[in-house]
Amino acid sequence: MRVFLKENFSLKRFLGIDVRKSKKKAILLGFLFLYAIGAWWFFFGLLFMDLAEVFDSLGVIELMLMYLFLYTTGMTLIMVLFRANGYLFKYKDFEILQPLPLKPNTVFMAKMTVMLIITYIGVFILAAPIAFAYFYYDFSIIGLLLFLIALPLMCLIPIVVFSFLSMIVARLASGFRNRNILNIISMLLLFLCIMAFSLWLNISTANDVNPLLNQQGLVEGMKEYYLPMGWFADAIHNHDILSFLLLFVSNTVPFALFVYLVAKWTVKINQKNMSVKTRTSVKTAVSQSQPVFQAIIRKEFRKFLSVPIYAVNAGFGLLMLMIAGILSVVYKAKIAEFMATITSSTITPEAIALLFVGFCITMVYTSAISLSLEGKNFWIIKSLPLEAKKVMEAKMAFNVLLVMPFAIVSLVLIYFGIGSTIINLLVMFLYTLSLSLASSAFGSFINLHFPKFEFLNETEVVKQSVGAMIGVFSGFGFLVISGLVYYWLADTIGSMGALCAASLINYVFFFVFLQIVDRTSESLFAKMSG
Amino acid sequence: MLEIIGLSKSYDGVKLACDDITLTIENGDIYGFIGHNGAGKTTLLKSIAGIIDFEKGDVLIGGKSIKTNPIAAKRQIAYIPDNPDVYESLTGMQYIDFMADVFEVAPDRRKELVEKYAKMFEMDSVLGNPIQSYSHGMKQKIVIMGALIHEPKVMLLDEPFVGLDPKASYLLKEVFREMCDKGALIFFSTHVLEVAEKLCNKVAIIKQGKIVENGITQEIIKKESLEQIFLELLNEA
Repeated sequence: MRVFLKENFSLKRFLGIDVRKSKKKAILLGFLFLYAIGAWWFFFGLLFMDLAEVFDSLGVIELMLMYLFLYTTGMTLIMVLFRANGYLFKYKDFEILQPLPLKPNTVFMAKMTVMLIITYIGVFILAAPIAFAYFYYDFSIIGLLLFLIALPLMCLIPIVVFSFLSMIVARLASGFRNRNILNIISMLLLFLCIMAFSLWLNISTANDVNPLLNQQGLVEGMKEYYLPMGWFADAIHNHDILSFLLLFVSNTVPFALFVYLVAKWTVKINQKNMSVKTRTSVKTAVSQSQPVFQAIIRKEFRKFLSVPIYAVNAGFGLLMLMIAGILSVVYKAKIAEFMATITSSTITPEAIALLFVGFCITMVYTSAISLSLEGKNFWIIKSLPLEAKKVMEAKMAFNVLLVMPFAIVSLVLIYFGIGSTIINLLVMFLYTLSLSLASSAFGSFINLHFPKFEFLNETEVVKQSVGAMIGVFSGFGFLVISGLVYYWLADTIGSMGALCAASLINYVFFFVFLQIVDRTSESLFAKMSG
Repeated sequence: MLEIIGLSKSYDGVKLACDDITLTIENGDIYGFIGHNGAGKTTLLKSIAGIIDFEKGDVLIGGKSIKTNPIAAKRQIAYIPDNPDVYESLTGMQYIDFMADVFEVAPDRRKELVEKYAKMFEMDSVLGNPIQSYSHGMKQKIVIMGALIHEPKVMLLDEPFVGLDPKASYLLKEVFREMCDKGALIFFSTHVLEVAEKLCNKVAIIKQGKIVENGITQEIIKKESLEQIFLELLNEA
């Protein structure tokens, strides 16, 4: 267990750099993380303080605990969904651990503990501002103690449920040759199910005072169907020991049973996942030659499809783009009605649509992690006569080539959905391309400076690396800059003119970061050991 | 020709993994590189291949510096690591194609070489399968095929015979000889002193980052076997 913890939670593993060798970078990253967490706590803290004040005045402050329960459950589900496969059912050190005289339960519990710790870190960061807001209005020592015990407990049911689902998926997929594609589809479907379920429960009325009030329906819906939520609130708010015991038993018993019953099965799933199904009648492999740049892009594409966690996370924006496009046509009338209420001469339907499209594009952050994902294969790139800038450019190009087909289809569907004009569609396309280029170039820039070649499974790079975090957030940063440009210029040069200006700025960003990447990649590659 | 000129490399800035190494390997040489674990063999090979940077000295491959003209230098080399970590998402054929694309091997020549080496290493029936389905030895073979596909003038190999079955080892030695007859050079590290003694026309022994013995194999083993020399050198303070 100690070995697992050291292996998974060292500073080097987390930051991807040796702190002793890169003190400045480590300090910078430390500040960046503190800033990100501080900003999150401050922003959501304010919203939740506001909400707590409303609930307190209505005498229903315990609703805050239900919000906390809802958020942490959602966070746990998503964290487990993306991690269970790599941590429990397809771990890379299986060959090392399996021959050791260890009981399956011991190994499984140790692996589960690592996943629990990572989940708890996420849950704590998310829950802290909500808990603060609650205890600010309803503080008691007993309540706080019960909360501290109940917080890790209440995550256990979602962990069991989604670990079990991941196990079913892993077990079913292990029997197929194209198991990675099946894993990708299953994970995307599960994720969409979570989103659809949330929407289904979210039947509240709109509220302009605080956006969190809109989620009251979701909270009440969940309380009705999921009893531990009520027990959690009762235990902390009313110091109800029976509720606490019910919460304790309802979470720990399924978890213990899961660990006890499933441990042996995970050995079998890992064994099955180790073997690869191949065609029985193999056709003669045919050689195909292509230009170097194209060969690297093709390699990137194959990597993308072969690592489910990579495809699902970095490709989720693509799915969202498609869904948005289709929904905009299917719900054309409703969208027109909604747009009429929020649009004006400056805030056009095209601008609103682009905000969503842009959000989806920036979620496709392959260029921020693809260099890291070379991992142990990085020696290949380094020993070949390839210019570092060509490798990085290919990684950028892959990102753009991955995004643009989906973006174009989505834009065309949105064009029909909102009834735009061809000129406006062209402007939307120009902006989309500019954003894709800028975010991919910046992603490459980030990955060059924050590579993470040492990892036990790809989840660490895709979900927990510095490159991934900065990659996604910087993408949102480009959207914010575009928003500011639009805000300043839309009144004077019109909506489309402002979008053109925002595009131009994105192209400038792209050009600048491309130049930086081209000029620095060779020397940075030389320093990377891989 | 491969020239290593005063190469020094340190990982921590204190201890030198390679200490002022100077070696010249001529075309046609099969040069064995022997040393205990942690002596600096892999570090030297990786430095020559341009995988890791080094602080002092230079490496010239066919007169091209790996430091100042890395692309031209790398065009002439093939590097095979001790552990065949390759792109597992690709099939064997796709991997070889990738290597051939990078070195711009003409399609006809590529086809010819793929057929030759696939048959030689008995890989022809599995080239269409993903590399992740391969055994360790098969992965080693696919890395070797990927290295041979562009007919390199300089082959750098780190423990190339580890993981290979006896037949594949024999075939690889034959490939070495064939390449050297055509004017290429082979520089490889090994723990198997017998291989070095029988296969290499020149050998070097590295100890704690320094070359302590090098030259023509037959001259070195005139009085004692390579094993005895190696052990004596290791025991020296």
